[in-house]
Amino acid sequence: MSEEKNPRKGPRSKRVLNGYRVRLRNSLEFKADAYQNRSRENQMRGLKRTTNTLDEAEYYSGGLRSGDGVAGVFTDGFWNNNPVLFNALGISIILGAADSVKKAFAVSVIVLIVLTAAELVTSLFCRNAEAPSRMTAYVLTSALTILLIGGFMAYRMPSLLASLGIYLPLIAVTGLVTVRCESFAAYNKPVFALADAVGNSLGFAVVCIAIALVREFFGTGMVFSMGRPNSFPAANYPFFSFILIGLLTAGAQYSRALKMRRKSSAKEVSNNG
Amino acid sequence: MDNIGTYLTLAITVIFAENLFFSRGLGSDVIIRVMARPRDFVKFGIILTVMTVISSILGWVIDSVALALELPQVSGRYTGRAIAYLVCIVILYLTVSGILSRYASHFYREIAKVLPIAVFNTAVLGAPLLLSRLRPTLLTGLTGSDFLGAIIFGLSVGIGFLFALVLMSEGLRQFDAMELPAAFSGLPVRFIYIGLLALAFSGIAGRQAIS
Repeated sequence: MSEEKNPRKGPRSKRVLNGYRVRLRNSLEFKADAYQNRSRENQMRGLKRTTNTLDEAEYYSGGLRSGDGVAGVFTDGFWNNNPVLFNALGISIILGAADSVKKAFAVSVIVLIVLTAAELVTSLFCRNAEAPSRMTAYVLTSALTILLIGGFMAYRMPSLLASLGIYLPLIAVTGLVTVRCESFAAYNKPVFALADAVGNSLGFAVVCIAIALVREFFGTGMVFSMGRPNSFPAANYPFFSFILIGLLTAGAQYSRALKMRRKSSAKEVSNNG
Repeated sequence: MDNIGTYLTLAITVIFAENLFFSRGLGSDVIIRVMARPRDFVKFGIILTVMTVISSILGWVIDSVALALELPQVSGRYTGRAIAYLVCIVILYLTVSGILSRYASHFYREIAKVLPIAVFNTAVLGAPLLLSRLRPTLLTGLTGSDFLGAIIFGLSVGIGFLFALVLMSEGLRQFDAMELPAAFSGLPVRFIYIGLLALAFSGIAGRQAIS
């Protein structure tokens, strides 16, 4: 809060970040009474930060959770602030393309390449650019990367390309690329942008492959060509994936709350001691 | 006049039975974000509808040019075309934001917050891609040109998203008043609610979960 009062303190990069933070806090209506009440109740129950709606403002501001440095940025993207589980990014790709483990793996690799290219370009060339030109830069970068990947796949693995269908080009504008570039890479150095890209794509890959495993098992009865063929077509419908992602998110949120509680109780013990 | 029935069927199919959000999850990244902001979502929905109409028209034009020129499909069936649509959308966005910021700066400031997320999302790029996929099957009953069909497709996609936003915003309002387990509050309950709605919509489309 003290940062809000004195946005002119600190080096230039921090000042820019603070200004952005203040603007975002004003723009996001995170002061809604309902959320405040709920978070107060949760605090009374010993849980902190259980609603993502509140976290969104902090998330956009680029504040780190897992400590400073490259490793902190990486852990943040990979698990502590997982793009799918805590921020609902890249859901359409998971819904469309993650119905078998092979496709999920391919999509994850493509996301890694595209996100790395887009974040690096944004961080290297567009840190001082205006919003429209910055957006154009990273959308076109990811589009170009996808064009190259599509060309390569058409030459080497045409069947996989055909099975990905419309979801390969959609990676270029998925929230995973646009939000990460807009909220992180546009305000940070290339090294951090690289760590963020790798961490986020690995975090995406873990969730994507986990969902693909369940969907493939229920949809075909076989995983990695093992098991008995058995069909439950509901697994290929979007509602199955939505509910699955919801349950995974609830689990992740529960584990995060547990971790927070453990941390705060450890702090209390050390304060009392 | 012969085509009215076909257009109506197309609109109802795209709004309800094959709602792009519930049946394919397109645009879910932005919709899940916007639904928590009731002040913005009408603005967002209207801009999104305008954008899906424009992108469907662009897609139709690019498809027609590609058909007329008999372009070779260099990299996959959709990738090359999708990038062409995307480049057109980017040029359109740059032009519109440039013109608005210069000549209608007050209006631009009002929509500046939602314009980028309403333009660069999977729904706006997905609409022309699906149109080019559906073109041989959904639009076959038409006697004349299917240009109007493309416009109606884009409009219905946008209205379908607005409909989904209204449904989910109402649901979110109800969840705010409820006492939920802490692990489920926030994102998880939204996902599960969307999943149940998607289940209902797959019923409208006539799908069977167990065959």
